[in-house]
Amino acid sequence: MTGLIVLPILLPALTAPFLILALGYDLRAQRVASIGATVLFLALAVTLYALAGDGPPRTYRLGDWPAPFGIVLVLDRLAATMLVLTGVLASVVVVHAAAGWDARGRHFHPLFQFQLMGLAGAFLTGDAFNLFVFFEVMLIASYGLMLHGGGAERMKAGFQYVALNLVASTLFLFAVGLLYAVTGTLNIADLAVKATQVAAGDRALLTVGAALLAMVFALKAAAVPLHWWLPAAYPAASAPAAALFMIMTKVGIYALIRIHGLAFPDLAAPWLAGAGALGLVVGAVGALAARRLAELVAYGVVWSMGSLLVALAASGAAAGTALLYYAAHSTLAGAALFLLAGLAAAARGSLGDRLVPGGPPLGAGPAILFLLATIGFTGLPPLSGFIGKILILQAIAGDPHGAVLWALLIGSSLPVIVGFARAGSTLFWKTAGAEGVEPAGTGPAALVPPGRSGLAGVAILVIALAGLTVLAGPVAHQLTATARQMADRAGYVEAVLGEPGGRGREAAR
Amino acid sequence: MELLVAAAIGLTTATGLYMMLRGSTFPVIVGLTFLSYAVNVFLFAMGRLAANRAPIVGTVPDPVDPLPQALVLTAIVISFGMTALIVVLALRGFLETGSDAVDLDRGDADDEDDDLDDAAPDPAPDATTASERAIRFFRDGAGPDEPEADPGRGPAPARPVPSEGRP
Repeated sequence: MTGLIVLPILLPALTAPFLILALGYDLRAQRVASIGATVLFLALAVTLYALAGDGPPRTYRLGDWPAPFGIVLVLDRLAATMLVLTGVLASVVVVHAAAGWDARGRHFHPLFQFQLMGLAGAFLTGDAFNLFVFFEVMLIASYGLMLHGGGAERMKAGFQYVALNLVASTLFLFAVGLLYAVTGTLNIADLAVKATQVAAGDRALLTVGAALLAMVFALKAAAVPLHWWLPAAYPAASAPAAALFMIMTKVGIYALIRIHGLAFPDLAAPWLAGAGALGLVVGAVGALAARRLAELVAYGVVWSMGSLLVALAASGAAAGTALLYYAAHSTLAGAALFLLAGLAAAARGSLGDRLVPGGPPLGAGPAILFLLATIGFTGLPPLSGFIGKILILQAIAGDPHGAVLWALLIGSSLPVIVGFARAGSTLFWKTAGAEGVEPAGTGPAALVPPGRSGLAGVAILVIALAGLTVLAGPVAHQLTATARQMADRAGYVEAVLGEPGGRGREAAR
Repeated sequence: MELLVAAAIGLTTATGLYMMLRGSTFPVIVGLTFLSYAVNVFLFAMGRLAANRAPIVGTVPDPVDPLPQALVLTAIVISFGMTALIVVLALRGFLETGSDAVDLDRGDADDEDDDLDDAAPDPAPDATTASERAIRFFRDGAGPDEPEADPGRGPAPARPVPSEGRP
């Protein structure tokens, strides 16, 4: 059964070249194969979640090398949860993209599958350098997806995005090199053991390496002040790509939990709380200042990452539950809003998704979906954002800075709600047909309201939000078990290093 | 030897960082390359510096660590591929906007109502000077080292041209 663990990486890794080599010129066949593979990925993720639910983390040793020497894949509840989230999001996004977005450039589906491979690998690997490699796989595919569709603005934003991520990758390598030089291991579980045994003289080097690594992950997670790339990059990307990128910010959070939670538990937390508090402020201010719907959503993402970082910095199983619940919620809600922004931009012709009145009427369907997705995203009752916020507020209640964080978490919601309300009234009410609004110049694509096939993806994501709300009890119960396993550092180390046949533990001493 | 290697890594990193902070794409790419060189040497040194020792257990009494070589190979491949990608990206961005500035110029593109999505094909007055600078970079700066940059620029006249005619 442990062989299943490698399949979420292998499946997209084999699908992508198949799409290029066998179906290179047949977009229809590519769509069918890509959707099929993505749904299979989701099924696999659910299977693995069931597998991970019943006990300690399971490992798969690549090449059957014993644990600290070879590369291991580790499946625990956290990894499985992230895989399921990835599978749900990817299935919706690939169906949405197949409705027409994928025809605007070449090789959307192969890049999409490679991105899935990188995501699955990043979630499953138990090796720091292997994590770097899967980060790169994920990023290389994301560069392609980000540039999908072409255009001058996208090229410029893409250059910044690529350059920034190359610097981050270089920092990642510096950090991994430092950690290896000090501890002599790259296995994350082994790193957790060795980090406690480092000689006093090398402790500073180890801290520098861990801090560099935290910086890289914070950049991926768009933690203020390392967030500035996100409001430039995501709105410039095509809508399905931006929606899929919602999971990439969560990879940063995941890596922080995995490496820093395990090996350097006390290093990053105070900084992360500060970055989270700043993120709440910057995201809220940005949401008020945004001039495009996608930019507004991007600042909303910075804001929601602020809440996540606050939860990440807090300790305890309650904080872990809140973190995972809010991460799942904000991924789905943000993706729904990015897809809606893409639909609105397509329907408004040359106006795009810029927040100016006078566009064509968009119809009731998009308006209702926007309302629901916004209610979810900004944390208004009754949808899942509200529950996620309450979980976070409860988790940080005992924190010494709890009062400040409470004030920020609650207070920063208001500007975000105002920003979204303004955007909604501009897009859906102040249309060319409304009284006192001049029709603005619109291009040839105007007056074509978003089609049913486009709205279906958004509707599924909103239904998923409703599902998260209705099933909040069982979901939170599952996530609490995950959070407990997350906090059980000894259990993880034992599972990876002390497995039957794991001769590595003795040899490594 | 330690001092030499450490100084080399530090100097290369500093050069890379300085170049990265420039405002046009070509120096940024060169800076990235410097940075990736620095990290490659750094990774190589992380298994400790040793001369004349084999990385094979059993053949010599005190073998060196073979792992950094495998890691640095991976890092080289990735950074090489990424450099190729970003060069193409910078070139496409330059050809489509007529400017090689790294900034997005978002204020101009969003505030005016008349220049909507098609602000790009119509370069602003200062874009010509930017494209002049960029041509200088791609021509003189990268001439012999970047063979693929020249064919791309080949048909272009030496003086700056608006980018409408380009695909």
